[in-house]
Amino acid sequence: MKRLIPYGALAVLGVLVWVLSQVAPAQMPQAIAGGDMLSVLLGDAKKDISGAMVHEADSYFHGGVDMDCHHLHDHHDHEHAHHDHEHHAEEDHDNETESFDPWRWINAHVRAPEIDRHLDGGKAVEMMPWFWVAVKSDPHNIDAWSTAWYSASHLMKDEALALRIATEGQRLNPESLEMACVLGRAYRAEATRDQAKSEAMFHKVLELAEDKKELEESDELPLFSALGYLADSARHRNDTQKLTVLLNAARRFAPNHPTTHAIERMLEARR
Amino acid sequence: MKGSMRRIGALVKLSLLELWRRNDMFALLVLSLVLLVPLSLARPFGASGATRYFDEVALLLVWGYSLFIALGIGGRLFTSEFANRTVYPLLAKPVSRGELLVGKYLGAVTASWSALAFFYALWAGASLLRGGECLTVCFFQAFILHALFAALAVAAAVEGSFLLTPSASTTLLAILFPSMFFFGRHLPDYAENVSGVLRWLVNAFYWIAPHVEFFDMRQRLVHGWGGVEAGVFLAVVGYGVVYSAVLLFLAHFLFKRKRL
Amino acid sequence: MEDKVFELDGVSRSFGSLKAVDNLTLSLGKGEVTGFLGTNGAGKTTTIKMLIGLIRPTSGTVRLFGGDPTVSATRARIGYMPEIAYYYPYLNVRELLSFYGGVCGMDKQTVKARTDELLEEVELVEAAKRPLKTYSKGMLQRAGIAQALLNDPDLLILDEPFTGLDPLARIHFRNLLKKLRDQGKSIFFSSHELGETELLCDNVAIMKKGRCIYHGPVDRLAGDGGGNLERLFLDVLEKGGVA
Repeated sequence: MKRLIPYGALAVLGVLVWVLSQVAPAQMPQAIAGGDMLSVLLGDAKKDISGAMVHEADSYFHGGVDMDCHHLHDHHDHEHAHHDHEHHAEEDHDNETESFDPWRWINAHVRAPEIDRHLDGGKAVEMMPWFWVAVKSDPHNIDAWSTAWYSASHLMKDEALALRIATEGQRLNPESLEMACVLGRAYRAEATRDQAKSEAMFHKVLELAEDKKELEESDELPLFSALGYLADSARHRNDTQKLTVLLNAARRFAPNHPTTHAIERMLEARR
Repeated sequence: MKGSMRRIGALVKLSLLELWRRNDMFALLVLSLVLLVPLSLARPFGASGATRYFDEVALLLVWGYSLFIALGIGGRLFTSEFANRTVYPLLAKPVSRGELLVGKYLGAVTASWSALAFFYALWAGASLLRGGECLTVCFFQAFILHALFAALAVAAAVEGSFLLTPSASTTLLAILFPSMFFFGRHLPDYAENVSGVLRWLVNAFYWIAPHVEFFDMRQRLVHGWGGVEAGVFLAVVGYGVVYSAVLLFLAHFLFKRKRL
Repeated sequence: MEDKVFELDGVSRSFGSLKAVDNLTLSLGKGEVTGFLGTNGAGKTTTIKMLIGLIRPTSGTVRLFGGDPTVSATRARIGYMPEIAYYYPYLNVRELLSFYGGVCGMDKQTVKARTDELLEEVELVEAAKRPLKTYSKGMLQRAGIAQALLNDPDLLILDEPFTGLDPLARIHFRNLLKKLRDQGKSIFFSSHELGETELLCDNVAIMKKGRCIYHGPVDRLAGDGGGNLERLFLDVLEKGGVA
């Protein structure tokens, strides 16, 4: 029994530290150091860890298979959760044409499922812990925030959870066009609809874009999404003046963008 | 035959007593609870219902523990006998070096397996409490392959302890095994990106090094893929048995040549 | 052959350029007690290791009960105690003896009966439940004696058995060896304790630089100079042999 005492003491200490961190988080050393515990411990490595966690969530989406490609992001971009099964079949076929490698053969059978399994519906919640660690490791990992939001809203259909994620992500990344756009979209969802807040966020996207000296490639999608959503709302309200303002803005950013042409068509239809 | 079984039985019992009395298991159990209890209570973004991350982390811990226990027991198996000079009275008994090696190896493997069974039982219990299905073909396959991994790790540790100093051997294996576990299957890809002697070395290493990743069925368990095909399962079992036997054969060769 | 428990015939053993044992011829008869004397590095331990089959001679032959000591079955009738051994620290002495009994292939009942008997004999009954890591050097030595006697051996080979024993334990151990001698056991032990050797042995063998410079009765050695063994031992070492 005596020999258990040190381990018991260790366990009690662990529980005590955890309870204290819950009861008085502001007094904990990581709070005093100006960041959370992970930031204090990991330093710059947190970005790599954050990326790895998103990758892990991606493999969870594929039922645990490490595809080393970015399907989830493709789904996010194209907003349809269709898995390109043929792509993986092709990969398998390529492997078969090489000379026989028994080690690869064993690994292929032990480490790959016989059928494709994807997380959808409520099961997509399995990805959340990895996204959570990803954004805790690097709160500025926009990819992690937006993919977590996408998974919550489009796979889990849990709009309240999606809004929580988007709100927190935008709060921590107020300069991000994408997060402002994501929050705007979260407010457009049926269960959490708030038109005013949604439009305010899309306007914020435009403001952020205006303030930027030069737009990055990654800014294009949220910017034109925001323009599209705002134009759509204006069209519903028959607000021609607003559509004109939006068209001018779109032309300033990219006169030949499909969204610019779409707004032009909306305006012409009103006239 | 009966006498030989008694001798081996005594050596097995010795290893089990050592594992029990050294408290390694208690330390690992407490460490697991400290890590896993808060982890099981986590609600990322306020969402509840996620369980796979917990299973994955718990199984990864079990893998780490099994390696720690196997290398620890295997590495100490003969080095402590030499250091404490107990090998002399032991070999003065009517026991051959081969019997001693096999008996102590089986003892270490039994000790590792009992620790492993304990952790798998805990994992299965936790899974059952959450309403999960755990006593599946996949579960038993995963346990058997994991047990074979432990047997291989013990054999490598024993062989290493005859070849190198105990600390050098343990350090080397503690790097080699996790490296192969995580990156072993990517070695051919790495070989394609280098040339000359390095390429030849990477390829040779790929063919010779222990592919411990074969024994890893965590993804199948966590994501519910089901068991692996019987043919593949037997191939992995065969690989583990043959690899362990070769390592033990080398260890026996070195033990016979060792100056006492 | 059967009246000899072991025979070393022209045995040499080298470690690289070092000749640890050089052309040693030595034997032990049934029921004989021989003390194996010599300075440190004289080759005593190497000789004992060859006797119990731990190492093979470079040349010459070693016969134990007429057989090859490197064959495990040949060692069934010997009991061996090393000079110092830190027996498994997490076991108690009962578990230690139970383990060695298993290694000897003895059945559980016999091991238990022998354990009770031997613990009385070496006075470790009270400490029987304590882990060996808490034992003093003398207590470990007594545990070592118990393990050597466990299989009721015909030949007892002891390497420095008096090391670490307090005076009382030494007397007790001497009496134990005398009892074993009276039971007809053959005993071969190396020692620096010349007084003990003189009291116990029929014969002594004295080693110097790997060679046996004297092998014969203690009283003959004593008779040569008419003094005690300690002084005679020194004389023999200085002269390199007995006239």
